[in-house]
Amino acid sequence: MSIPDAELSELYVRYAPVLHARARSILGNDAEAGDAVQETFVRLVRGYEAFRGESSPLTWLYQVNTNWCLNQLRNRKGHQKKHEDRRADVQPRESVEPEVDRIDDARIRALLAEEDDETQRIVVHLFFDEMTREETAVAVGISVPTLRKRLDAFLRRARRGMGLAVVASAVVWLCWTAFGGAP
Amino acid sequence: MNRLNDGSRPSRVRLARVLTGEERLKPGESEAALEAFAAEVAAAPPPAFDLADLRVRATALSEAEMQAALARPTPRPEGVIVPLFRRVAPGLVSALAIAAAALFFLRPPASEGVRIKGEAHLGFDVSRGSQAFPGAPDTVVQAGDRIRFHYGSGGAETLVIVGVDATGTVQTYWPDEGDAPVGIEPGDHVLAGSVQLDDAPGPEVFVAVFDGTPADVVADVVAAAWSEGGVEAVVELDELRHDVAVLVLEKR
Repeated sequence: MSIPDAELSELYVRYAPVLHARARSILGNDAEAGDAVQETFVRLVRGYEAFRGESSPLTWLYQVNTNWCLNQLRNRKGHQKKHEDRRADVQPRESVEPEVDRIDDARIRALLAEEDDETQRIVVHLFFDEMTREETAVAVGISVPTLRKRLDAFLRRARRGMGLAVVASAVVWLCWTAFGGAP
Repeated sequence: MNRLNDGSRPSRVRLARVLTGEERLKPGESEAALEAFAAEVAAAPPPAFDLADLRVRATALSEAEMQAALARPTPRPEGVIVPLFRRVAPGLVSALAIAAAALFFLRPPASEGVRIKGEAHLGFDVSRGSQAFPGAPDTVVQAGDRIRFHYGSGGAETLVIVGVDATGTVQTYWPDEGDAPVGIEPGDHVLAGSVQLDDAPGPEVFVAVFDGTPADVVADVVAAAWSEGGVEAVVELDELRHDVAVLVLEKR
């Protein structure tokens, strides 16, 4: 059975705006967020039978939206790897004290592409959906202590990346001053 | 505002449910947060609705793309392994185990400035017939597979590895004999020997302790944790100390 036109239209009007806002948050890009909304609804048309059994349209649509967004981040990362060295292998250790509030969305997106499936969902729920740890644990289907462990590991990787950024900035600054660029 | 939500504000999922009419704002929930979220959503509208385009593209969608769209999170593995070394009967879960657990957890962690967790780690490789491949958190192992552990010292000097299977039987894998922790070399190394999996059902968890705790104490703590809360409780030992790593294998 295919979804009736009127129902599809109604669902789009009702849910596309929040899906778009969420995709913008995860992907950091308007054009890709628009694609994410379209692709989510394409899958709703195709998977209408599965969708009809869901009590919450938002839950179903967010799941599809999450999968599509995470796949985009992985593709984006794969594309970048063709042109960049794998910096993680030469990152310095433990140079910056980690503070969650200092990790910006761009850094999270860059890290997300390299995380396992479960950690990706944890990070999306915690950082982009702003769910609590308890809500996230339920959504992912793990215990809160396990969630804390995954988050802790993710933040350690983020901290190492921030350390690299600090070192890179210092090197650029030193080069700039050494070659007379400073006032 | 804290980056991570401590429960003092509604999540954006919750706000989306309210905004789409799936749920109502509860008493005490912030109307200002809802208004801010609604303004953000309204400020960047989605692409215009194009019925014909959606239907055409849905027709072209492959089955694999649909399966990927509906994929659920892949849970971390659980598994079973057969010991090659020795077995320690779990008969010590008593006052002795409680005392050992207290000794273990009340000891100060590794020296200041050396945060072992995150640096010291335990991993494994799998040999299956003529194939060999590195183990990963989502690796599914099979009966007959041979498992070889490797570790990164991360500043630690000793290692003990203890496992517990689905029946609660605790096994010390490292050291091979005695209870003194095995001295380890700095850097990344593969442990000598391997273990072969059998077809016994249920999960087995491996606990690696890098702080010099004797194997018999670790075994008692693991046994006590297992008695208290099964696999979950053993896994959570990782949370309680910085110098403990826990590895769980899934077997099919």
